Amino acid sequence: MKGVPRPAVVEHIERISQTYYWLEMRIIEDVIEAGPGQFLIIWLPRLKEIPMSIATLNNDTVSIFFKVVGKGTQRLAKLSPGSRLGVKAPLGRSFTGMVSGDKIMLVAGGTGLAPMIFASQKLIESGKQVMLVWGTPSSQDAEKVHSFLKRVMPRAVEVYVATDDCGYGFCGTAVDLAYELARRDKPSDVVSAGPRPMLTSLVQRMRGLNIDPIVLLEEEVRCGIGMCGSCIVRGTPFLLCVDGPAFRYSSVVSYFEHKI
Amino acid sequence: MTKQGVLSVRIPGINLSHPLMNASGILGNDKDHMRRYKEWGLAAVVTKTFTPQPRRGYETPIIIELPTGGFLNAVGLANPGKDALPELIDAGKALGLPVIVSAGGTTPEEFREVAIVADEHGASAIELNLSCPHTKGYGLEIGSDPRMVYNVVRTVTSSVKVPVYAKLGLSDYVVKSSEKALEAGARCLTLINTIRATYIDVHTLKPVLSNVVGGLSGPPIHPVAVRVVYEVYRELRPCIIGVGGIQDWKTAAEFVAAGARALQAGSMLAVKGRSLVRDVLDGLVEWLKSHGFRSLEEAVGIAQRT
Repeated sequence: MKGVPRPAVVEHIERISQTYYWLEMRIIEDVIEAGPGQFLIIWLPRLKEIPMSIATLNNDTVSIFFKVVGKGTQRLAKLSPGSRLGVKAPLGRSFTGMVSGDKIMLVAGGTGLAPMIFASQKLIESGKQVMLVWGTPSSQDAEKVHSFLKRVMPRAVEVYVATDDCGYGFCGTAVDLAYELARRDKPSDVVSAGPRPMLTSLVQRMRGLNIDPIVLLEEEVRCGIGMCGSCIVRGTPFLLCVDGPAFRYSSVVSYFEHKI
Repeated sequence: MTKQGVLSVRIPGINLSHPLMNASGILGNDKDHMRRYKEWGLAAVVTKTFTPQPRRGYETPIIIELPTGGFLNAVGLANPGKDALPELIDAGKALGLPVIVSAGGTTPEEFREVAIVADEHGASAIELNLSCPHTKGYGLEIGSDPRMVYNVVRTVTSSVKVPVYAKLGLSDYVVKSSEKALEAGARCLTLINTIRATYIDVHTLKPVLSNVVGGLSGPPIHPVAVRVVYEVYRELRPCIIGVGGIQDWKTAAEFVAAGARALQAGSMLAVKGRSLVRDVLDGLVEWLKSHGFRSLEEAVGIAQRT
């Protein structure tokens, strides 16, 4: 029944920083079980559906971390506690079974942080050692989000932040920072989510360290349940919404070779 | 006899190694979808409905699962337009898949435009979508009028060499429309399409699909589809491809017994993939054997002998 839009109600919404928002929803009379990488589709009645990564999940309460990019996220940002919507979940496949070893490095860019918050929670629960590298352009966002993460992330996760404007944390990109840390700490696996250029740069740098990262891809997800085919991963028979969004880079090389 | 031999069946234009293909609308508008069809083990594939010009389709939600079972969709005939067909057909053929092109339009001429491209680029057959239930001016608005069915089918069959199938939906005139389609030169009938339906979320007090009305598919429509296949076969004895709610070998066998010589699976194919194909094929072989049939063809319409 994952394709049924289940009734949900907004419990909490917060503008964490200039760019980023946090929204908590409660699924009414239902619970969701999901693993890292799995996502949901939020139905905004009579407007549209928006696919979103799960940032945190506790039984009937699910949170998302987002920024405003279009009319859907604009509406989301204006919701208030008590607003009613629908949630299709859990969609996609958990990447728990793909992760190798016990020392995991998560690398996120921008709102790619959302699935990594959830992944860090799940990986820590399963006894892994987790470090999280997050990059965002502005130091103003970085400082506020970093402080916010302390509320929602397991304490055991080592968090590193990189900013393009060099005003907070590491001066440079998440990939630059992840590369330095990977060279030093030799993680058993690397998982990454973020814009495609960032993922492309990450896999190139990691190749030098003989690491084949797990990447969370983005495609246009319309139905979310494997019927419409809009999210076919270029050059592969995979559908992002049922086989992904997490893939071992070596199995989706053609996605990165395809022109945007 | 081998499993493939028992299940092999001929429909106009195609020697099928077994009777199962996908229903139009499940993937089928991108060359990379062909690889997924191939992995599922289908005997032939049907494209999404193509129109002369590209169509973006409706805003989401376009497909939802229903709490009462089945699925509801109003995708809005999203497709890249007829010019994308050659690449798609080539991709299917390169994998050894016979490609049936689903054609749509608002006028007989639009159907013909799509059909000509399909014919010229090696499609194995053309399936005319005379039954999409949710797009204004298309599909069922034409398919529920037997005279319009005749006009569209005739226009296409007189313009192409490749066999033409007519996909008809639930309407009061489905037997009459079937008769007219055959009279106009259709070589096979695909029965049925999804059924007009609506789902309202009582929590938000809103219809969920952006288009409000969509097409119901999946197991809930199976008995309706079997009834239509049964009646059309009884009256006209045509080549029928049965579609609607196939979820295992039994629901597939019912279509054969009613009069279908080939089958299409949609919703549950998307959900189960290759395991559905295996279940249907293995089950059909055992079913035929248990009744002493030497081939699938012998069982077509067997339930008509009441």
